[in-house]
Amino acid sequence: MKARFLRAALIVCFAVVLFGGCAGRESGDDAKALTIYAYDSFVADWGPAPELAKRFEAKTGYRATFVSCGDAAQVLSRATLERARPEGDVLVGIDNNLIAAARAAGVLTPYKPKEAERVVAEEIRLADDWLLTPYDYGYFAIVFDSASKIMPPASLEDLTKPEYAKKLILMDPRTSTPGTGFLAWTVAIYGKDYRSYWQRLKGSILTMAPGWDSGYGLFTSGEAPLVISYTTSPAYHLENEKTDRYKALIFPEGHIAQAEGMGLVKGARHAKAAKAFIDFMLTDEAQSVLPLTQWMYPVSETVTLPDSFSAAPMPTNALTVDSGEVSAAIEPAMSVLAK
Amino acid sequence: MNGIARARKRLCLEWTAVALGATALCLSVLSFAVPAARSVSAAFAAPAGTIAPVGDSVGNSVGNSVGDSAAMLLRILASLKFTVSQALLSSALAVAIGLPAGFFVARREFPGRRALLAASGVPLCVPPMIVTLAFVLFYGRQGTLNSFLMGAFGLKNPPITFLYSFAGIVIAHGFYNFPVVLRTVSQVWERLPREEEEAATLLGAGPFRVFRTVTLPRLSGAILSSAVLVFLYCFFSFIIVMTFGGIGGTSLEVELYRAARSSLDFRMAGAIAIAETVPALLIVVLYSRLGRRLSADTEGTRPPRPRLAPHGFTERLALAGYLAFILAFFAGPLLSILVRSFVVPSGAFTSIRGHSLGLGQWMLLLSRSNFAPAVVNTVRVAVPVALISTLAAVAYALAEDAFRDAFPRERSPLALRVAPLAPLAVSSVALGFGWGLLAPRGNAFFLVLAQSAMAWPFAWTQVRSSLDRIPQSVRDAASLASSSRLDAAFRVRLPLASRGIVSAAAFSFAISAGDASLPLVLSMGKFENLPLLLFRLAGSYRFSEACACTVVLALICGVVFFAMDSGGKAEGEHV
Repeated sequence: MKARFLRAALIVCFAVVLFGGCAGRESGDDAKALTIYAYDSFVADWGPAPELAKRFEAKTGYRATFVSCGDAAQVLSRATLERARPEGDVLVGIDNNLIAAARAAGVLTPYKPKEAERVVAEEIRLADDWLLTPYDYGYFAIVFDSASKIMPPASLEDLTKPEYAKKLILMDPRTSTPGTGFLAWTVAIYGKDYRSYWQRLKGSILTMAPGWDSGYGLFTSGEAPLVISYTTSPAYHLENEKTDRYKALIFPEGHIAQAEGMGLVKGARHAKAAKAFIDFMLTDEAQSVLPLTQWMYPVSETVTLPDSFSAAPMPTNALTVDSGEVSAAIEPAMSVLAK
Repeated sequence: MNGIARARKRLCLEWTAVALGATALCLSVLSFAVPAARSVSAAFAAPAGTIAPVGDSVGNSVGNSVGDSAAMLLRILASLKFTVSQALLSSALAVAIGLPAGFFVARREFPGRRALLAASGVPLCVPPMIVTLAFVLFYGRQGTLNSFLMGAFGLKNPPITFLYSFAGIVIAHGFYNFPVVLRTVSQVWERLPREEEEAATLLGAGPFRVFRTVTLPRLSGAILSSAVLVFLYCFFSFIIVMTFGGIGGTSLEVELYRAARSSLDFRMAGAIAIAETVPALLIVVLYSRLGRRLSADTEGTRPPRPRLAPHGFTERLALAGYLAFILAFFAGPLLSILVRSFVVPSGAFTSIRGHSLGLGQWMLLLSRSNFAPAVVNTVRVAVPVALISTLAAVAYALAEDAFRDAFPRERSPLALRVAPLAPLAVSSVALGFGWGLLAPRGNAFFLVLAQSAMAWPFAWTQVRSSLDRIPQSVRDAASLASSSRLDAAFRVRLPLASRGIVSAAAFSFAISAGDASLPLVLSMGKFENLPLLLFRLAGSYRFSEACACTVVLALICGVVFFAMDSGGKAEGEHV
């Protein structure tokens, strides 16, 4: 009897769902609208997109639709596929690792925002011709679990010590941005000798996770006391979890910065609105949304950082490295590890 | 008069069903073939065409010199060997665990039987990222098992360290996939005729001999078809292999991901997609040859036999031991996810590895404005997917039978036998890539199509193995007694295969409910469902909430499996 009831209920559900329809609805296209391609966490509920769209519309009257394309590389690949007939007007999230690819793809056109010179500091600019304009930036750092019983390492070289055997979680540079960031870091510090560093480091690596999410998940599950992430990660834990257990370690040799940029799509259908959006992103109105949603530093220095950012230590020394050099290092570093 | 009217009405209904089935089949096949072809055709795209290999100038140091590409080729070959061996061992382990479970579930009545059966659907909907987290929480260096052992024996170092190794991959895959074997095998096992086994026993064969010589051959079709599903799943496994598979190793799937998703070298991606599909297809072909030979003499079905209580001390002991084993290795990691969902990350208390427990993360999740829509969307997409792929599977299986009836002497063409498993022989990264090219701005309709294409091989395996149980004599009798072949199918064969059909729907539901990759690839704008929500939560530090989200997903799938099993059983019993 019960079984029959369940079955009947299921059939009813089936019917309701089937005839309830499951088609998506596209909003109409008009002069006051624009489409922005971004990576997923930018568009998420707790990401900056909802608040940015609200403030942007209030200020300019333009209605911004954010479309999530997966990760930043997929934002670029989507735009590349649509190059003949662009659907998006602005690309958001193209960082220093992807800028060469973005340039080669030829999907963007330079646009220098009105306040660019004033707001964006020289060190974090992504392109001389403003093909991309950075809106936020952060530094990669080793994050340390102070509840573990080990001493925090004081440098990249320290990480190779036997006491850190299997204590470090990295991410694969082939599939993850922080993974590439760590590789860039070793290239910046060791130059051509990065291979021998990876050779020495090998014993300390517990695993190379495919993405930041699984790697950081292992870290907060206590699997290893060290992980590659951002200097701002502890700020998240302080703000949302009220704990200062996790510390970002500052190494005297310096840290690699990641700057995330936005660019105007070549042949964008709503170029005027797109330019207005890029301008808007550099105003403090937009910039102040970023720290607590992106967990990155806003490019504007006049924005007051939230208190929790006191947990994010500032590197004493910012390093840069050519992105071509980094991608050329991926295969060699991987084959050192594979041996 | 009344009888004729009823017969006419029935015929009308039957033909409607056939039309629906054929439509579903076409949709499922096209939803696989078109994107697959699109992603492969990218490999041959002219460099000056619409899609330029952007990666040439950037990340693609690979092709810089001949020496480099030769080294690359060697590494890829080595990784192929690695992939094939881990997938083979993983499916062997899944069979080794799934077979005893199949026996107990099909033949014995014991407390927790229904729960085991319902829980066995859960892994299908748990995303691999969470599976790795589950295994780490349980077996990890600070995991439940090691903490317990270290505390109990006063050890300084964690004694269990297999996780980050070949063994770790195989064990995670084996336990993650054994339910596929369990479900496929048990639904055949409970309908095996009793007489032969009894005859063998009377002739003096011991229980193991009976199993080896009588039962096992009859189960071989179901074992093989579930093993090949597991094999293909493990062959394309990506996150589990990368997390546990030792550092620096590569696999075709990683290289494909890199080409399609980070260096944007679409030609390279297409080439790798082909290179990956060929060995996987070979396995499918091998399977279908083997499967044909084995299933020829393994038919035979009966109403489900009454399940007995475990008899004898040895059997009770074996059952208890087996359940404890399942609890430790399968339920343990899954329960760790449940526990993790209650962990409130905080430095203030120290009850569980420096964290405290509470409902905080659950309250957060449940109060999110997008949580309820996510649940609704998950079900709204998964139900049509289940419906389409099950209909497609039934239609295909019946068409296969019709072909066999029409040409009894001929072996059905290889293409026909391979077709239903082909979607599993193409990497989901490649399929997603093809979909991305086809439908740059997808909607729920495309999602349903794409997921149906992905799910229907699973559905077909379930339907096929239960249809194969029906003896030729029963089918002949049904044909004689019915007005048409169609009528025979609807009145006799489909009801006899009801367990498999219901199971097919549950499988497809779970596969759709747990899939985050296709919704992401299709860039569906405002669309939100549970796997996407989960993915977003884990991508932004919110791991406890992501685990809570997994629990909700697992509960939905568990309930569906439970309800479907009840439905299937009721139907099966009055046959």
